[in-house]
Amino acid sequence: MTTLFLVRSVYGRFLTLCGWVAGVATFAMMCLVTVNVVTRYAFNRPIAGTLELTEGALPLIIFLSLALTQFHGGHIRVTLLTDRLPQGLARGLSVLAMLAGAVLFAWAAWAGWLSAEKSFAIGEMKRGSIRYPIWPIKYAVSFGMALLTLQFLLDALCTAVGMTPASPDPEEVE
Amino acid sequence: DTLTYITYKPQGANDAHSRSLQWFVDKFAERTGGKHTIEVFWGGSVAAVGETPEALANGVGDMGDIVTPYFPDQFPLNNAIGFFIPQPMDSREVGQAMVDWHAEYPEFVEELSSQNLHAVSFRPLENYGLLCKDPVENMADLEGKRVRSYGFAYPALIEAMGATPVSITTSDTYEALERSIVDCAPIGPVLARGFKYDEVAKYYIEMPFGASFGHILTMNLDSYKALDDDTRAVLDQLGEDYMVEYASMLEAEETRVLELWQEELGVSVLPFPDEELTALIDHQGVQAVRAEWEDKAEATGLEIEGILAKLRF
Amino acid sequence: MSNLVIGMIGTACLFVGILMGINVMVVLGLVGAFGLAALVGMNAATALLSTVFFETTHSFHFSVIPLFLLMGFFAMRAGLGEDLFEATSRWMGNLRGGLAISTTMGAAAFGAASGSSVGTATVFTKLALPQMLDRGYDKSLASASIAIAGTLAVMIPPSALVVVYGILTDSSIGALLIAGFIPGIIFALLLCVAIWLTVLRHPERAPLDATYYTLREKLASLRLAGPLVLIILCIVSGLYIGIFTPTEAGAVGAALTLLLAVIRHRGIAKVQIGATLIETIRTSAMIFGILISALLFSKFLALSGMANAVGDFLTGLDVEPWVIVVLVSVIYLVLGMMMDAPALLAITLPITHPVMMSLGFDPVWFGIFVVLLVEIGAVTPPVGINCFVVQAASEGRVRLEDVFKGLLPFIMAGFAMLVLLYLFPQIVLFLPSRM
Ligand code: NA
Ligand code: NA
Repeated sequence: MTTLFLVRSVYGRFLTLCGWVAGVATFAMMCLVTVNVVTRYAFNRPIAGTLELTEGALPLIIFLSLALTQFHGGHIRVTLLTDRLPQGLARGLSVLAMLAGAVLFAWAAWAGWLSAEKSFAIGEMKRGSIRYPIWPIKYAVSFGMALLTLQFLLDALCTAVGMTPASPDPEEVE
Repeated sequence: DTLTYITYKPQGANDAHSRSLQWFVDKFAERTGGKHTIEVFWGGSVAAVGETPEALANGVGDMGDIVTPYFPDQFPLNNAIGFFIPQPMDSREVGQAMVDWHAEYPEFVEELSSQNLHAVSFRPLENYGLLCKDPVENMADLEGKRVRSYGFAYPALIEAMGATPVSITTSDTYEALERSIVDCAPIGPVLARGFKYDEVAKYYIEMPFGASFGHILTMNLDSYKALDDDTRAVLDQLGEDYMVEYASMLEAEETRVLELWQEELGVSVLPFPDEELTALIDHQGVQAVRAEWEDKAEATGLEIEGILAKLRF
Repeated sequence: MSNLVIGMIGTACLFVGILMGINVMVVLGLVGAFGLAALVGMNAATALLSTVFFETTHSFHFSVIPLFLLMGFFAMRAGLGEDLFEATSRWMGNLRGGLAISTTMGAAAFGAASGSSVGTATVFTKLALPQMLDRGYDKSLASASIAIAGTLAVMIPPSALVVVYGILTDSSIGALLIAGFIPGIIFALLLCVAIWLTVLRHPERAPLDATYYTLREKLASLRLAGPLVLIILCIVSGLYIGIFTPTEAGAVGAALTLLLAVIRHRGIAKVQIGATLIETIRTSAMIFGILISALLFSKFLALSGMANAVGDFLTGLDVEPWVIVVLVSVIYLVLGMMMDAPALLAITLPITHPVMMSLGFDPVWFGIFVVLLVEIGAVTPPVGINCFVVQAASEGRVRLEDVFKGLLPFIMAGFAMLVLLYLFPQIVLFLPSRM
């Protein structure tokens, strides 16, 4: 049980690292879009590639943080009914719920991987005022969903052995 | 049987695209004697533009609209026209060119069939010009202007004009024009009316960009093969007739918009010296985009000279 | 089995799954994906799964969501909430119920910097709840007024939820954001009236406050509200007169609030940029997770013919349009009892939006109307997310029951607002029509 807890928290650190990448991307996006507005008005020179880079950044921001959000129990659930069930039954349902999440995102990660492979094979590019390959982003999307799958499996295991993985932090919700 | 048709177009759009699609659906039922019908899922409710090829190839729907310019790497051959801006063909000629190329060059068909897709018909867009906030009479007037750009060919062409390409989404372009985030946008009269750009930019410069392509009315190849011979014959013929019907709908709309422009909307249509635009084709950046297509096309074993001939002025 | 039956089974599974405590995101996605597989086969479902996640997020427009969230979190760090509460309570604290009223006005003002209903409810629970309770305010009145005041942040731009509506219905996000401004202010006033009427009938719930501020102190407090004027000028007028697009408004707003936070803390260290960014991405991931899964579900619903069938039924009813509006509102209020705002929008809009459009309602008007509906849902029991947040942030000083008990006057104010919106659509459409 302590091993499991250790595995989960080490994994959580890795997810936090991914979250940092996403956070820095968000901050960079804020700076880029703001500076683009300023240079457009001040020098009549928008920054080439603002649109393209912003479009490319959002998938990274979202999919590198999905698993971290689950790690902190931040994906919304309705516990209205389950709170009133006997503990054993509630735990069983909870394990089932986590496994359901693992099934969905394992499927989605695999599908996303196929899509990334295809994108890589045809050398898919973002074309606009600047150019860059799109396939790395598609791999990142698949990778993010794989991370989430793993987190769901870990949480299912933790719940099954009677640990409370994480309760949602209300300030994080909306 | 009922075939499903998925499109990003909202039914309420009531433009040549949606009305001609409804015509297609009605005629199909009529010509199969009501034995077969098509059920349309409008407005991207089943698949968004970017999802459509994958969805069609895997049978989410039987038929659908593939907006080819979104997929230059997935359908390079069928996007030929998109790499060659400007080019001399108008809307009808672009449609005919697509039909001819599909008949003459197996590579065009192959590109779709290798992805389990089959082209039923083609929907070229209208002739494009440049819609601007201020009058533009020649290339020198465009110096330093901000021009809305998108896709793979316009950025290089706009730079060749001495203007600044600004990438913005189609839905943001209205606001961008209104607020002078951009000064001009390449577009045709019908689309300019549809997106209401002509409310905020009152000069349409007749720059001969040529007609853009466009949409392929596509069918899942398995679904196509599963049709009985009679129905397949009906569909093939309908695909041909569709292009005629669509072209006349589009032209009627264009006439109507040009009248509206002259009367209540007060949009001036200004001539432009053609040779100043065609001279830009030699520009290095524009040539690089064309060379990119040529490389991609030749890699498939396609004999490209006949195609290039049609795309030259 | 007919497609329609599959659609109904899927919808039933959705509700059972949600009640079983499965993540809303997971239920939506799972029912959507397996439903699609049942309708058109495994390969087809996999094809949609392979594209929907990337295609939905690969978008310039949608990056406005993390940017608005970032702006809200920076606004908290900048202490905007404290300043506004201080300013409004100096001016209105001496009225009976004045603290609750000033909380409402402060939250409305804070809403001009924050796009999150829950975030605003949290901030004002921390700020205003202890003050009210210490001065003998009734627990229910105090906590419920904060829970509902949070929803003002969603009406008044910027608003992540309004962007979600724009995304799901392909409506003009700029027009929607501007449209919420006047209704947001009117709703704030209605809430103040509701507080005033409650206190009129039950004076014991809000003892008079004897703290006295000189005019000088009152005027000094206006300076505290100064930075907010900057933000409002930036966001609302920037969108209105057209200095930038919504995404740009989000970025510039976030940068400005960051600047405010840095100035207030005299340096960058205490702003905790890192922690703020992590909060932002986690909340973004939560919203997009639901959004994308709901898209999968709505694809399933569309393909099954359910969406069309319900839509056709509603449009086929031979009744006045207002009856349809009432029916639609009831659907939202009932579902809103069980569900959270983004999920509720995502599930219902594919059905209700086309119906309302075919009846000739304006998409921007319906956007604001429906956002108000789901925000009422955000406070109604049993699943009233804002109430959960107030209770959680109160550190044990109020119980969930206390919050729910105080809600009735505010829900009535919400209904009054709905009626106003229906009778006078110009409240919504006035500003966007002049953009
Ligand atoms: Na707001
Ligand atoms: Na509720």
